[in-house]
Formats: sequence, structure tokens, C-alpha cells
Amino acid sequence: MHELSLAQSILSAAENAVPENSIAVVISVGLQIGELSGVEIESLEFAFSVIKADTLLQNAELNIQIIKGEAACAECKKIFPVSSYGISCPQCKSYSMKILKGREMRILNIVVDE
Amino acid sequence: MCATCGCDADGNVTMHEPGHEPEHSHDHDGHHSNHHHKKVVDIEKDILHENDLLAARNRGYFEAKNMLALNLVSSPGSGKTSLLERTLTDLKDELDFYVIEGDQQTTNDADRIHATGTKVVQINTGKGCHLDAHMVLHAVQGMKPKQNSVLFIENVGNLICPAMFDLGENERVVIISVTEGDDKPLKYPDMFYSSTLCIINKTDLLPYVPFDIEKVKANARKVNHKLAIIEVSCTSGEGLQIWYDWLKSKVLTQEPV
Repeated sequence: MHELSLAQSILSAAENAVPENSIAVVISVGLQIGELSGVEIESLEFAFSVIKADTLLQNAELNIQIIKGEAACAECKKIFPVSSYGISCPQCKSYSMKILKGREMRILNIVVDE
Repeated sequence: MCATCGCDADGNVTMHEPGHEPEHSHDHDGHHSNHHHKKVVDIEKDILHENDLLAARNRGYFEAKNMLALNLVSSPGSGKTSLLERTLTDLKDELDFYVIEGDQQTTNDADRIHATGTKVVQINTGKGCHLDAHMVLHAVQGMKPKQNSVLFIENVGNLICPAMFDLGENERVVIISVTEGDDKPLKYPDMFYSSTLCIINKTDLLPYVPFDIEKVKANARKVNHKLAIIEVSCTSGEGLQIWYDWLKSKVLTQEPV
């Protein structure tokens, strides 16, 4: 499943961010996941919990900030929330739109306990 | 808005953890009641940054060689390999083609492509459900393609996972057949949103199935209003000329570096 690939990517970026020769314990990884990104949060958390064993992140939790979807209508320019694809503009009913927010998949930071 | 974590200007971040809703203050110096010192180390990277870097590298390689690279995606059984067999046979004297095949196991698809006389590499992903930029990079290095050629990457049959992975392609072609449901684009929106062309295959079977072709086109356009749509049958040959014209127009619009 691809959530495993994502979890491995997160683990690797987080490990690389720990200062060299540090005795710090990583307690959390800050993530931003958009609701349109296609990421299944529970699967991601499960995959991470499995692969973090015996690594610098073995005590770390994922702190996930969900970004709500938002689109701008290409016809009437209205900005409106979208929780999935295939939704029409609430003002003019057009399906032509640009997604402004909601596709994020970002690793923001790690929080370490020194 | 804070450029680091997107929190509100007054510093009140809400993070969501399924199961409970903690309030967490955006405070870099020290934290709450215990005697430990908490420090935030910024990362600010996309989760798929490594794949994206390699995809950008592939894209640069294709541009330098003036190659057109297409990523073919679909459910298993929509007809990706059959479409390639027809295309490679019909256009073999007009363009130089290379193919990368992706499947969990076997070289069956690569063998079919090989029988057309086209240079092909099979990637077996084992348990993996999608191709990624790293796999494509290695496959392309091995093939040493010519200038001005066309590369078809036939992804693993899967309408979900490949949507997330940029391979460095110029065009992403999603293939759906008339034996599938006409609400497919709405059920698998990520794939249709991320594609540039949709091919509706097996149109020769339309008299025998309840598939509403206008409905599937409307549904696809609801998800992605810019999607080009071509209807074909690899068995009867219907519509293939439109696909070939589209393909050749994309080759011609490649500007030599």
C-alpha cells in the first residue's frame, strides 16, 4: 500500500533532521495533510507505528494538521470549500475550477525532547 | 499566517490527532509543566520530495533528449497493453518507441510488447502497487533511448496508488473500458484529476453493455474539466486514428532543446 511509502519517506526525513550526535528523543513529527491529497490517515498512522520500531523515532507520534479543501471557480471566480473532487461551484454550478488548498502532503517539523 | 506551520498569526495552532483534540501552543522555547526542554526542528518538505526530485530529473532527461513520455494508468484489464500493441504495430515506421512495463509479477506484458519488435523493460514491483520515479530512472538508464523518441510507461493496473506518484511524464493517460461502470471517474477522482487524456476502450462492446458513454464523459469532466477524451476499440480499430493524431501532435509540440 502506498501509505507505507509515505511513512518511510516521513521516517527518513525526520531521522535526517535530528541534530548529529544528539541525545534528543523525537516525540512527534508535524505533518500537513490536505483532505484532497488521497492519503488515508489511519493507514498512514498504522504504517508509521510499524516502521518506527528500533529507530530514532520509536517514541514519536504523528501530529497531523488536516488542511480543508478550497477551490476557485474558473467561471465566476467564487472561492468555496471542496471536500472531494467532482463538486460544482455553489454560485454558478460550473465544474471548471482550480484547487487552491487541500492537496498538501507536507512534513513540517519534528519536536525533540532534549 | 506563520510561514513555518501555517498557524494563525496569534500563534494558536490546532493539531488533529484522531481520538482526541489537544490544544497545542506554537511556542519554540519551552513547553508546559515538565522539566524537559522541547525544541522544534523545522523540516518543511513534501512527503514525496524524494520521488519529486527524481521525477524532475526524469523530466529533464526527457527534455534533453526531446522525448515524449506518457504514463498509462488504469484498472487491471482495461486494455493498456492491447492499446500499446496496436499503436506500436501501426506506427512502427513513423516513430521510435520504448516501453516500460510495470506489474507485480511475470514478464507477460513485456513479452507481448517485445513481440511487436519494440525495445521494452519489465519492472516487477513484487508487493508494490505503483511505479515510482526511481524505478523509471533506472529502467530508462538501461534502455539508452534515442533522441526524439516516444516512451510509454505502462503503470501497474491500479486506479488509486499510481495517481500520487509523479514519474516525470509529459502526459498521463487514464484508460477506462466500457465493461466498467460509467461512474468510475467519480469513484476514483484522484486518477482522473491528475490525468491529461482519458481513453475509453472496447467501444465495440457498447451494444452488449449498459455503459452510458455520454455519462462517463460528463463524469470525467466534472472531476477534471481540462481532460481530453478519445473513444477507441483496439479490436475493431475504431477511433485509433484520433489517438494516433493526438499522439503525433504531442510529439510535434515538443520543442528541441
